[in-house]
Amino acid sequence: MKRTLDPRMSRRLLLGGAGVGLCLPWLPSLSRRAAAEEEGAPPRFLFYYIPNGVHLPKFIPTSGGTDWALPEILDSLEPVRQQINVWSGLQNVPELVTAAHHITGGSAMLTFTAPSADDLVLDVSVDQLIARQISTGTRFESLQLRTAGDTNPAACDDGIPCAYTDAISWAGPRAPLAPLTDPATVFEQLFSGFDPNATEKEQEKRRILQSSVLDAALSQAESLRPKLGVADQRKLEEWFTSIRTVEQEVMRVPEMPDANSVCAPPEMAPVTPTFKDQVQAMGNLMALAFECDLTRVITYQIGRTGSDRNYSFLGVAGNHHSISHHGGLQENYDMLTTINHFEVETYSYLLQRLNSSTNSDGSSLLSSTMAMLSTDVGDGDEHSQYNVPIVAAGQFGGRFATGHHLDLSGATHGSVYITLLQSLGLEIETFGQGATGTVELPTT
Amino acid sequence: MEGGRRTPWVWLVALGGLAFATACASADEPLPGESDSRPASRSSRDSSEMDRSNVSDDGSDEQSHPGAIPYEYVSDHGRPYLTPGALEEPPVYQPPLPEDPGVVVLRRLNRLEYNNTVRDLLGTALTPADGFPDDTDSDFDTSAQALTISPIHARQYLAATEVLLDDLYTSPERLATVVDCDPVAEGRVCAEGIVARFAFRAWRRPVSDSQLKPLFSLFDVAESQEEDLATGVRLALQAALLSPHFMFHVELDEDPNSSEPHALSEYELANRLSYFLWSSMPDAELFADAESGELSTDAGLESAVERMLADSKAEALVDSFAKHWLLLDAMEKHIVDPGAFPAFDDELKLAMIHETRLFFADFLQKDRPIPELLTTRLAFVDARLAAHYGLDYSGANFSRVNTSDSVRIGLLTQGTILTATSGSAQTAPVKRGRWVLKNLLCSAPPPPPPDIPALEEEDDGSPKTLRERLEAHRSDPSCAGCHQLLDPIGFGLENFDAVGQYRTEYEGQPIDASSAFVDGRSFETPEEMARLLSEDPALKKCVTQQLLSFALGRDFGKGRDDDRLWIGATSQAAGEGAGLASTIRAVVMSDPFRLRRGQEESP
Repeated sequence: MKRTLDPRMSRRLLLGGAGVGLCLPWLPSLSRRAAAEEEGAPPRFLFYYIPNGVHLPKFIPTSGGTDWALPEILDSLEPVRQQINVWSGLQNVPELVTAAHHITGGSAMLTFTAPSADDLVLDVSVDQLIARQISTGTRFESLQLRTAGDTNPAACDDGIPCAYTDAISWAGPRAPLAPLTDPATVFEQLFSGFDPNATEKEQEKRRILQSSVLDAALSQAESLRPKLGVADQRKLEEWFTSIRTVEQEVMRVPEMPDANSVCAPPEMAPVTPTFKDQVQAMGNLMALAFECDLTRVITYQIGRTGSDRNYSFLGVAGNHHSISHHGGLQENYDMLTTINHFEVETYSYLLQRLNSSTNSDGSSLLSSTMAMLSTDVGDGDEHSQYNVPIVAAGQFGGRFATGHHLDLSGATHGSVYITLLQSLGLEIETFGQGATGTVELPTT
Repeated sequence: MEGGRRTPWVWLVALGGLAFATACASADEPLPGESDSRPASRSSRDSSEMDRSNVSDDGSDEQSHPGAIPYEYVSDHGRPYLTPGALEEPPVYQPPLPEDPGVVVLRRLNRLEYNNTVRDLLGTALTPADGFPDDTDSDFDTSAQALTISPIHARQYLAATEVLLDDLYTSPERLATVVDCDPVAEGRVCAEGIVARFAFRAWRRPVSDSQLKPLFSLFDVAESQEEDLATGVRLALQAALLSPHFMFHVELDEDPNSSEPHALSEYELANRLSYFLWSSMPDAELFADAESGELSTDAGLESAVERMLADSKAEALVDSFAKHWLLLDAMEKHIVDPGAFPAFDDELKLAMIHETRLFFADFLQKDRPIPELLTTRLAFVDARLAAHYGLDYSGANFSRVNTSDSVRIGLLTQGTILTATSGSAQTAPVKRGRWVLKNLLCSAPPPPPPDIPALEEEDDGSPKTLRERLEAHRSDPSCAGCHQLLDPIGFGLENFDAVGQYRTEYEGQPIDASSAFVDGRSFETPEEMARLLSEDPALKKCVTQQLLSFALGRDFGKGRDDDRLWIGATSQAAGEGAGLASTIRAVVMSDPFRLRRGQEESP
């Protein structure tokens, strides 16, 4: 059973009824003059994570180059067919991975690092490196989102920290970035604290007062440090860095609105707790965050690594993780295909929204974005971290050509990330554990 | 991470369309999160005579134990699983001081603690932490390791303080309890007094002038922005709520690099106690006990525990401790396949959760003996749940009913436990067995393996029950080690389906709930199994261990002297009848709860 998400529905979800909210006063602080950058629209990065692998035979196009048909799982991408690439054959295998598991796959997804035994340690993730390069001027350097409500038998009740399955973005070795899971909270965070009627002077005062309060809190750390042990100090540092980040966000002076911006934040209406609505609401919020240039880097997990979500609303019996251990049975393949198809459909919905939004130079928001979809393992039954494909939508602001299916067998996710980082001008030769060199991606 | 040791692993995999079956295989590498040395670490140790020479400071063994008993036959506390005799009587507590209380790491308030603390601090009905990122982890959500902080948290904290102060300033009566003089009229002395008194309560300890100075400096910031002193006070209150003194459970070491144990300060002890029992800040009386020195005496501490357990705020133990220990959280998130169980709905799920909550609260309030957790013939049901259980009760409200004439006996036959340890459509005997071993006996087999092949279908054509397949599977010696521990408990509960309803057959085949533990004790029915488990001395110790893990925010049992420490606490509790409340009391009186130490600098 397939369902189609209509992009035109997007606003209604957030608007909560016909017509409400569209006429909200313009929020000047929200829309930075993104396109004021002289080179054109700024690049954005989005990562759309789906757990438990995919049914590869229905996911990988059967021919390469630019002449290929969308396989069944990807067929909802037809409206953006010319804006996507499929990169197959990639290995999500950091050097230090000694065994394949959902946790190792999910941990490596953006860090290309193997989780540490008996501790909570990974490394900085690629989205964070990208954010530090392209997103420092926006209100939020990056956003981490996840849709909750799924159990996870693969980890998390066995003494293994949930952070390995519940977060894919890491600010540093011990700093998992716990995602927000409630759409209303995300909306609140994106759009709170703005008074459309405030004068510039009032806004300036507000910035000073807020940052002074945060400063006063930060200075409290000084009196604590000398009487804390190493492990304690690490915890205090986490807090310090986080408050400091927010202080810097508060201090940023928003620019004048970009007349061509499509940012028009509506009122947030309650979202029903059904999974489908939650995912769609998150899609809308991600598009909104980009449209309003509140951030340029977002990572989203449709579920936790190893998610055992129940997809009975798609007519699928049983739970996702269990089904992904398909045992070679056709009925499991079919159910996986249905689940994967739904996941890609939600991704396609977001891509279509980005494709219909324009930057002030007239280009589509999607064209300036790199919006990747990938998964922790390839074949879920084997927990194989080999052959883990990526769908990569958008040209990342003219950096890469789209419409290609490339077989990148032998290359790693890590080397794809090096390629992306270098395309942004970062002088990075290695990434994570053992990734070196770049992959050759067609350019525009 | 060095491999080499061959460990039998247990894991749950899907088997065709079935939800959970089991398979296992040998793996050369431990799973992330599992230390290589962990399984055998305590096997060669006796609880009372410990050889410290081969134990490193962080509690892990550095040497391998070639002659050790194979792990799968040995529990975490050094005796064969479910074997009577080794420790039938709690050992006499002999305090060979100084024992190592272990390292308690600085941790922040979790969501429940944040909500409760601002409730008691500001009198607010708001629960701003509900939107913070989820703290739930594999351990209790007091686990320091799991309580990370990111900019996402920080943004939420900033927003929460604004919401909380807006709320406070709209209620004149509540505001007057904080802002108890008029700073605009009375000036700086008044303003400083307000902030100092507030900081004492918000930070839950005496506050020094140097700590207050940054808060007072906000008066000047307000002035420079042409705002009055009242605004300055509000800014200072906000800063106090964002301070690490508020956000963390601060415990200080005079010498953070010394591993010499020292007593907690009285205010630190007051905080440990109130967050343990109330998941919230101390009240005025507890602060007074700390101030007077009363709390550092045994009698003073005991009477504080009595008073606090009797307070309705102690119900927090249900939302904090029991939430994780008795799967209330897991049950809330559990999804039942509507195709397999069309009658199961949220109302029934909530009824099950409510039953387990009432059950735990009853044990707490009445200090009922811990073994009765598994054998009591009292259940809490409403009409809906009674019908589900096949009990005769038709009242709309929850009531205590006697289940002597039914199959329901104690915790193990409750819907919450049976459902949350099942798949969405089918039971998962191994999962049920694992939960009992881990949460009730504290002797879980190793965590899941990195990778295992799926269990092959027997292709002789004859239909097999899940039990038959599991048993065939156990004939593989490398699997037997774990499965002979896990499976019997799961088999013993097979009369209860994936939503806890009683059944005598499954897919046309009769259910055989008889089995035997590895030590040979056998049972025919769930009731007999529950009784055998209730007699296991590990049960009482495990409850103590779980409470200590929760109270200290660390995985109690992994520390160097934890074995001796919790046996000590259990012995104390046993002397008082080993009720749940007595055990909590014993935990509070124990050394690991009242002491702390620093940690030598490690590279």
